[in-house]
Amino acid sequence: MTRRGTVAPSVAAAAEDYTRLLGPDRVLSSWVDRELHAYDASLDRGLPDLVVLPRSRADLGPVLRLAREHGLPVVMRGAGTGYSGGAVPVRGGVVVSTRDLDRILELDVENLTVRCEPGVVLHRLQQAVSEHGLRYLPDPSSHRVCTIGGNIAENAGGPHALGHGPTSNFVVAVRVLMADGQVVEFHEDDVLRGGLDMRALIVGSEGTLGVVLDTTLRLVEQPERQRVAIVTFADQDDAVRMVEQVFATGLSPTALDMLTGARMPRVASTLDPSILFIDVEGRAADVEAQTDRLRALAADLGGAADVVRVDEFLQVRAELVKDKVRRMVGLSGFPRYYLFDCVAPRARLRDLMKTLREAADAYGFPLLNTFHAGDGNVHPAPFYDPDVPGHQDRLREFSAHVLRSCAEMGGTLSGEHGIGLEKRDLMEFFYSAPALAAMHAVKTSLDPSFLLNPEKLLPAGSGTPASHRSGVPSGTPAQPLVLDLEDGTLSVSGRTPTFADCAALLDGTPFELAYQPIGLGPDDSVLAAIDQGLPGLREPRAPRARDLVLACALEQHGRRVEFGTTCAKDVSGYEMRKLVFGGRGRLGELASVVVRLTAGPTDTETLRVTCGSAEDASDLVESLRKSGLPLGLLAAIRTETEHLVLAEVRAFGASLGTDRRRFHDLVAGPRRLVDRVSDSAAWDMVPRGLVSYARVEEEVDPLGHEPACWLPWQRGVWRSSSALGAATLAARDHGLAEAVRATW
Amino acid sequence: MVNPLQEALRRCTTCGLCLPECPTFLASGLEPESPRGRVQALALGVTEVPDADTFASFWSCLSCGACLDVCPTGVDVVAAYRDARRDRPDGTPRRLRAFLAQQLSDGDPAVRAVGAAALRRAERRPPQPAPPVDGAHDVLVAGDLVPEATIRAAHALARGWGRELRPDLNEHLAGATGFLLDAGLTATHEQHVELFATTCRDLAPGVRLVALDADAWRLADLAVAHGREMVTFPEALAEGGWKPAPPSGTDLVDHALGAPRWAEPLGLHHGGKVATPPSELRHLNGPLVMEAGSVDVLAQLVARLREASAGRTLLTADQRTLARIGSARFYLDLLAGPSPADPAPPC
Repeated sequence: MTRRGTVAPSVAAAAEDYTRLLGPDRVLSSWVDRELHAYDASLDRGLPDLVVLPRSRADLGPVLRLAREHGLPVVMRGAGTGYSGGAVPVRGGVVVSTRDLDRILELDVENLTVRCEPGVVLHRLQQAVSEHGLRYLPDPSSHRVCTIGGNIAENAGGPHALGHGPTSNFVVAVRVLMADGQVVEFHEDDVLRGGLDMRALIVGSEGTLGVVLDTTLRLVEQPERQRVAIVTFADQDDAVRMVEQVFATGLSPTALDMLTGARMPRVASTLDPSILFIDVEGRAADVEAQTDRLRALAADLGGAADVVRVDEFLQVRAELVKDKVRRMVGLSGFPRYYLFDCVAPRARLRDLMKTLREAADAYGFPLLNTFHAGDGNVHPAPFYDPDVPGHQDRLREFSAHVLRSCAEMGGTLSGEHGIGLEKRDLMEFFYSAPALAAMHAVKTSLDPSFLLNPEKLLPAGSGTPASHRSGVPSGTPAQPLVLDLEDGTLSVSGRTPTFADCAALLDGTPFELAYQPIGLGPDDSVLAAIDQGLPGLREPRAPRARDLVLACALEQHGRRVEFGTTCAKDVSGYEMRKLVFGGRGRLGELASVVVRLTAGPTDTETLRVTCGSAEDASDLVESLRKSGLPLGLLAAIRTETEHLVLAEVRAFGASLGTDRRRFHDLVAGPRRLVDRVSDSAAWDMVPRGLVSYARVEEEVDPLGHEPACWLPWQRGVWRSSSALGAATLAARDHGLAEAVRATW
Repeated sequence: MVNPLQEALRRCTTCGLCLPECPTFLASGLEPESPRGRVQALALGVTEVPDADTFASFWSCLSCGACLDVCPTGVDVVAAYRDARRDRPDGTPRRLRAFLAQQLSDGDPAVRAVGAAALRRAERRPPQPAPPVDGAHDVLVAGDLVPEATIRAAHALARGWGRELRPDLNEHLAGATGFLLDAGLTATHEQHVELFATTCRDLAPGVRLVALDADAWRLADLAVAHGREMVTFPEALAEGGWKPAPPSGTDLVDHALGAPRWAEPLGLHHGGKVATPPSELRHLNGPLVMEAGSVDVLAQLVARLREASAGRTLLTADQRTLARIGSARFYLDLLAGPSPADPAPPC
């Protein structure tokens, strides 16, 4: 290692310029400081030329401009706890610390959003919102130190990504400094107004497309009750069987993590148990019913279940993990572990565990796995000795072997760690050449000079695809609808299948397709609704329609390109599949999608309330919003003749019990007509052809006089009055769409 | 024998879980001021660099041990640094000197006292001429924030075992038994080393050190490194013939008191009904941090200690626990009986 090596003249000049801009204390250029910004939690290293600490967001523009002028790449850095080398400056250049960009700018308790700078530590944000009875749910294990900027870069997940999705699901808007110096805000509503969902592309782009200036995040309310079942199994496979059964029986945990027993190479079994942590939250009655069923299920499968409060759980899990790791260090004599990230479809979790055991034996590494079993997202941690020559190379071989097996199983390359440097050369096992070319086109379209975090996420050079597989079968599928009950997914091909077809197929299963697009009805095409980017009637409550799309296939000129798999967790490369929601054919013709299914309710009541006036409807919406009832749907609708409120309460586990009575009492009123309706009948009452979206803040009267639909949580109203979207948005995204299409 | 430095280097996976536990990282937000940064700096061989200013963070580790508790593989930065710093007693960097100078002007009184002594060493002023030390007596080492009542209790107990304590040995390590205030509880670990090295050097051979509280007891290893024996105050009392009755009405003792060298002479091993707070709270016995960034972490830990000791009587040797936890009692108060000024006579 070179110590105190001479600094290149261009770097010295850059250091002078940065010192003039920020002051001497904010430019670190000593060899020690540079060395201490050369790593993250991965095995990769890359020495920066300079480390700079901007004082505020206002400094970021000039920081980027100077880097451009001096020809130095820019790598943003939060806490440096990423596991894929995302913050490692592999080509040198300027590391920009977000340390002082740490302000929480605005907490909007009424609309359940928080706006903050990228350097805000996740834990601090969580604490700040919890004081208001709210939660921000992404919870990577580094949550006590990792930053929101890093979370956005990697689309961070954590245990609760199972129930609520990763960071992307929570990002309402992100304001970005682009490589050319422009500042652009990408908002989730863009896609409703004719743009592409560029927001979804920025999240998870590993800092290669722009620099996050600030972001608006969605918050959720505290559940009435939250319990964690800790279930211990002597045998790893029994624990996996429990994971399978949990979903097959229609339970809906918000987190399902697993910690396997220690695996010593070539030792058939140990006495170290495997442990499941199953988090259930929601209505008190539902939580009790679900935990009772978890206890019974555990007993059936030979496990021992203990149900605890969530705060106890966090303590228990932290201690267990630490104890297991330390014991492993003592037992094996290998002082260090290498933790990586791999994903198999949930139905193949058992196969993945077997692969891991066999690989641990073959490579001679003791192994622990601590992971998100409900998502099939495993974090293997082989233990090794850094002083043994060749150990690190063998670790990489070990992980490559496991990841290639995941590719064969239909898994993904990364569930939450990202690609970074660590996995870029394995991308070819998961994506076809046209898919990788499309991702290259995204990069070159937005950052043509490779200023931002170069050499990340995409394979070095063009390369020849070693193999190609994807969750969407290549070629036209034999059947237009393919239901996978084990993984909880539905594959939809072509424009023929309707929502009614899907509902018929799902009848009698524990799942539902949580998507009832506004302006369409049961007899409309699923693919068309996704292509148009129409939101579901239950939005923005999770899951949102856009977040249900796990995989897609696009066609153009007789060629086909596929993105995604049947796995719910996938942060491998640019999340192109998200662009097909509202893509409107701009990236190619949408040929098929795989959508995620969710557990259906165990009890439900839907009421259609005809109100006497617009004011009455508005009052009812407000009182329902504040009622604390388990609402699945709340919409105010104006038809040609009526003011309607549609509302639905749902139970997941128990019956509605007294909530049904309370619901009825609350909507009753002297000038109101209340009808019980079925779920699909309620959807049918939304006027067809509502295609134009506007934010409510811009409107004096949200519903006006035209047929319209207002979702009070969405803060937006749907009308039939004008054509889609703002031309500026379409124009903004035109270049990128063209660049992607040109790769075909 | 395992070399703590080599072991730290072997174990660190650079996961960064230690960062949010480290007071100096919380205060600075800088990687070099974090446990991970310090270990990686050791891996680079920074400590071999003659100019300590190259890596000023080398001196700013507080040795509080919070990082060890959270580290999955058990990297002991404190142990690694203790060895590394021991070899470099004169390396106090400019940044620390600036910090100390600032504390002299606007720090609180306790820190000012420590700062003055440390700065004196840092600036390599000639030591105060010290009268010869009488090797027949002990030196009591106490933390700061010592309540007057506690000092009175210690005086009374010592008197009962035939020793007279002087009020303050900070300035004149005269040859007599007395208090060394401010020891063990200082703004930086480096100051511990400085002050303690001074103490150990200036004492005559054979003088033993006695830890009055948990803060002072943290210096026990350092004392051994300087060829000094340190005993706990209860041990010293027991040697003097003191046979205390096991304290009654106590069901929780802090971690220092839970250790055998405190517990046994105090009779705490009798009965077996006493418990200690959760182990992750043990670094509350570490030195206080004087910077704002640590407040959040400290507040959380204190809240957890309060929760753990709710409805119980916590017997402690930690002056800060005494200040933070309403139900806590200093062990001397119990031993000394109802009136600290008038203790029960020893045997």
